Amino acid sequence: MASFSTACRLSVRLASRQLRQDAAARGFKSSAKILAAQNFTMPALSPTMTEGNIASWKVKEGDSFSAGDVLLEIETDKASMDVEAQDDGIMAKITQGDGTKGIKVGSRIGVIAESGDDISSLEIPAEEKPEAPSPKEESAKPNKETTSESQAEAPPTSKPSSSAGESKPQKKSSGPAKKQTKPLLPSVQALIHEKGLEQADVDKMTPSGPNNRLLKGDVLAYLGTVSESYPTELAGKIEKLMHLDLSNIKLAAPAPKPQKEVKQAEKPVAEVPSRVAVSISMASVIEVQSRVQKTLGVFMPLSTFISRATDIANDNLPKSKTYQPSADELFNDILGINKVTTSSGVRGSFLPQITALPTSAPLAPVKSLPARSSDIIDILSGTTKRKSPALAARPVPGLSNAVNVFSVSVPKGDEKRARIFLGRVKSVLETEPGRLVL
Amino acid sequence: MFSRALRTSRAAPLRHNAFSRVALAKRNVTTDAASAHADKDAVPEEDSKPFSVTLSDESFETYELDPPPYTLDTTKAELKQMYADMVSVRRMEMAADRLYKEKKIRGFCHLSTGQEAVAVGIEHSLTKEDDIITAYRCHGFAMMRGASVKSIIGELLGRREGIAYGKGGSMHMFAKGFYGGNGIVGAQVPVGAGLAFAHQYNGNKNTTVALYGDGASNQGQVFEAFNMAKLWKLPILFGCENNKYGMGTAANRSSALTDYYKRGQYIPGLKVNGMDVLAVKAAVQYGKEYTSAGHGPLVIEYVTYRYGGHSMSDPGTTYRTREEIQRMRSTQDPIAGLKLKLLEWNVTTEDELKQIDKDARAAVDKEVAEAEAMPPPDATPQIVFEDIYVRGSEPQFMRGRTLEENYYY
Repeated sequence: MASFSTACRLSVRLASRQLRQDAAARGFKSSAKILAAQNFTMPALSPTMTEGNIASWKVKEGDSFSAGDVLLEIETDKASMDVEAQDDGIMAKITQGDGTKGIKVGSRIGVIAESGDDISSLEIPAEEKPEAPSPKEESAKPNKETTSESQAEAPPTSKPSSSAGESKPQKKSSGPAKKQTKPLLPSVQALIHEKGLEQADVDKMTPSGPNNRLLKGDVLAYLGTVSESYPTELAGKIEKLMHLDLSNIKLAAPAPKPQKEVKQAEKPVAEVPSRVAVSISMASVIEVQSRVQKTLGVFMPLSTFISRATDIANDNLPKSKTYQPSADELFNDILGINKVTTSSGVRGSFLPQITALPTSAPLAPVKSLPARSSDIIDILSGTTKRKSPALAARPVPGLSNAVNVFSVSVPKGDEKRARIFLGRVKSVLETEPGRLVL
Repeated sequence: MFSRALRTSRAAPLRHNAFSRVALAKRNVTTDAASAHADKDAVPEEDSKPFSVTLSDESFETYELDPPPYTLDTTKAELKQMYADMVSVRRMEMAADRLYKEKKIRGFCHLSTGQEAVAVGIEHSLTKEDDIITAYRCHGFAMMRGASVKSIIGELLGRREGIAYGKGGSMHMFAKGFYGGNGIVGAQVPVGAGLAFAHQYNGNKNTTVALYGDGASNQGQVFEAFNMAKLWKLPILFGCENNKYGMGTAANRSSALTDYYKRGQYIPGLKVNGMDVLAVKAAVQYGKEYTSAGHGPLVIEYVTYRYGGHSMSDPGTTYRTREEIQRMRSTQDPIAGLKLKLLEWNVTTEDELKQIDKDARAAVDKEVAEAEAMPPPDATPQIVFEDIYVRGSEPQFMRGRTLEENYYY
């Protein structure tokens, strides 16, 4: 390929020479004859290139070349590229041969002489000093950049800090008023305009603001409306208040006490639930049920009656003693909005637990645990109060046709509500169950 | 067709060598840098005595325009100065190339190696009162407008003594009568129309040269500027530097019409051999007379070639062959072409040319060394913010990215 291209080039050049037919074509060089040889350094073929490998030299020592000829091929991590001669010349010496790896940009790889120079008598220039450290410079570049960056950042920070130093009362009062470089604050501008002050007056004022800016108080002090020292005092005060003073804060006492209290509070909560039970006869319900089936041909399970009775009974119960009204309710209460709807009470969420009683039931509250004690989970968990409402809501298989015990477990203090609830259930189911199906 | 007939009928008497007019119907502008002719015996002894040079028939192509005269009056001194200027520009571009490859220049850098004849030819046909505005390939123009090599290289290196105080870089250089150095592709063309309008408004008999590349010639604002310029008959020479490739794409792959001199549609056009500095000078000189006479704008296409890549990050050989570059370099180089002619016409001797080369190189190298020795600027907010406004016209403060970065003048 290379030989082909050189052949092409040769033919082109021959053709051009023939075209000219002129001895002056010899003078077809754009360069001057200068007797010094030059170092040929590793070029950076892309802005990010820092080092490269020499794949191969396309010229030999002693070869002459013209501008635009390929001198060598360089490989980088990205690509391999040809290096062209910028000028006519002779390759006097090649210091880094084919296949040399990792040559830093800027380090010498050869020596070039001007065309027409005698290479044998040529003085090889010493490798320039700056070129040796240049690779170091390359490697040190990031550092350098960071330092320059820090320099770049330093002046703005140093400037405000110096001006901030001046803004401190002690320094400023000693130093003469500095000319305002920044635009005046609107309040200051307005005041100056109001008082008809000149630019010269502004320059005489002592600024006490941050970054050496003029404040309204400075103008007033200049005018004598406030005492001379007032702005600096105020500035000092503001500076003091800018920092949160934590010096007189004492450590809080250790907090084991509240922990105990929490434990005590928890225990009563665990003890609280108590059981309220009422025995209700289902006779009238069953009578209604059979009547419905007779007349309408629809079988209504007892559970429907019970759930509907529960629903009615839950309506409009008195408020629980432990009831915490929500913020909304309190707010509505204050406005008097909720008077119509819930003034007489709130809706309860009781679900009665039903247990069949084969014999006539006692009216007193009953511990109906024996029926449930066979539940292994209750035994294992050691709790007897865990009656899930969902379970209770289901029709209990042991529902008797005669008397059943309806029980509700409630936290302490809510027994009265529970009793009212169960009383309603009882009255609904015993006296007029017919209304439940209408 | 009509224009071509018109051109031939009117231009014929001006030509000297009638033989080359045989193939009139199909002829393209040459890029031969050494195509002019001069009678060897007619060249005077004195440096400042004018003599006339005959340009090649293939130097121009026109669109709805009479071609410029094919003879150009010049002097030995001017020819030598042109040569020295081109050598200096090339030397400086090579120095920039070297510094970039040593990673001393960072960021954008577009070199004009191979296109020197355009910058030098334009400058030699204008006065300092005329205006030039160009795109980002601007080092040569800045130098020709009077900027020192030191200030240009210093700018590339980001030094305070740079021509734009080290804040513009390669794309943004300004000098008296030179309005940059513009990074936005095509955006300088309407600005150039504005500069021309200023001349017209003030009644100056000056012209503005607004240059753009073949890639930028498809930009909409170029055509907006064309419209305004023609409407108001502004004294402007729109110049398309056609170096055949716009950032990696050949002209015929990006443009539906590669006859950029015809792009003005209602504006007469002129295509020039941009590798021959004498042809460029003749064309711009003619264009200046044309616009100064109140005929309105012209679109001039400078057919040229760049040897390097589009920018420093473009090797320049992926979309064209190395052989093509080498062929242009060895046969059509503007510097070598002028050199050949100077020797042929006995304007100067080979030794004198070598001395010019040597002097130019020494001068550029010296100034580059001085630029390199200049200290880099301190990284302080004051230096960053101080040149945003003309001194004395600053607002009270400039906002930074954060409150702490605000700078108060």
